[in-house]
Amino acid sequence: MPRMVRDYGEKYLRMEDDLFYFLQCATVASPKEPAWKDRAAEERYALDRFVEYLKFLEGDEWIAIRPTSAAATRWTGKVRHGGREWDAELVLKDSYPHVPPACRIPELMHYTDRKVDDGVLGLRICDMHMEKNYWWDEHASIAMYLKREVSYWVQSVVKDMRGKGWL
Amino acid sequence: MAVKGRYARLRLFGHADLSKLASKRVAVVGVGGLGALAAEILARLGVGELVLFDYDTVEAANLNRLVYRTSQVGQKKVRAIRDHLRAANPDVTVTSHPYDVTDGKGLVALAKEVPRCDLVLGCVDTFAVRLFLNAKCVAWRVPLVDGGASEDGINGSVHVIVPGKTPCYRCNKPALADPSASRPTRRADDRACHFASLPTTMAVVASLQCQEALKLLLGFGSVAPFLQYFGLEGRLERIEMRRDPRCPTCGRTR
Repeated sequence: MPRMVRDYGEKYLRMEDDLFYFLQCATVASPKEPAWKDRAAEERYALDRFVEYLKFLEGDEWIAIRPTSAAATRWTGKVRHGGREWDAELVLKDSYPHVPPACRIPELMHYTDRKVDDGVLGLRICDMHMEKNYWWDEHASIAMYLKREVSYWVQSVVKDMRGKGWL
Repeated sequence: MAVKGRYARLRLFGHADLSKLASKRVAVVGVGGLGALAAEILARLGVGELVLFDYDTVEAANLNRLVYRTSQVGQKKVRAIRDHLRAANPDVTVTSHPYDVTDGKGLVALAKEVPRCDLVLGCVDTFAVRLFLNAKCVAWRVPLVDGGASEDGINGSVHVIVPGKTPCYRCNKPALADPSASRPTRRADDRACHFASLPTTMAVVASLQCQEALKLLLGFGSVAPFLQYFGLEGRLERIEMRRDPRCPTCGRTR
């Protein structure tokens, strides 16, 4: 069993500026490295804590994501917001966790400008702004990305679509 | 005395011996508006070997920047620039990798090429990749000269990272500190997620980047750890910084 963030101590983790430190992962390992299975286990653990947190809030928001590839580099699931539910897909590159994951929510992609398109991962949600307001580091997890990026992206796109009468 | 030959005017440079550049190997990561121009400057200076990384293809929207020609639309950027550099200076060996450096073949190529380089020029367009390059260069002990332009296209900055000596990109609080950093990501703006790009700013930043690279490669002058260019006011500012001992990338606790 890998060491979880709560066992790891404060030395390497940002605690003072982030209340959601419990969503961080202690192990820094890329998908091609041997310690990746520990990291993937920590990612799942952090996701469970995140779901517990959403349950505690009793809000109209829900995210359920699980790895669907053998190497745990592709995570798929559902994102629910405002009574609606969409399929979401997260792709982790070989350099993860040094770079954040890429997220695709296919049903929402065609209705918004807030997306980026590149030759490697194709159409995905725009995280240009996240990169500017930089918070991602090697200890940040998929759960943190969902909370601090995907969740806000979905909220804003849904609000925008409602304003235009598309939803 | 007649001044002839490709490097004749460079030999007249009194601060350093520019012919030493022929033995240097420089990697340029990202050959867009900044990288293509920086690569051309280095090639014309006579740098021995250039290693280029970029997965992108030349699009019509890239033609407002320098170097690329209309006839090259649709080509891989690294291929287009390789042909251009060979025509500009056949003495330079150009190796090109048309892959994403954060994934698969590109990451393998980066890990193979960069530790053998004397310097890396970071000319990428996203902060995530910039921080990734920073972490890799610090780990591999290869100096990195990172350049970037602001979202509005008028300001720019150049950051010189000499691992173990100068602050790394993550130590750089002025570059990272943003009043919006503590707030959730802003999505209120209705604009598409593309940023302005001005060839004038790109040329200024690429030139500053190459100037710092030159000083670093040949060991003359005083290298500026962080340069900020404010295009609206026409001001260039050199900012002195100290290493952050708690920096997760280069700090001593690590």
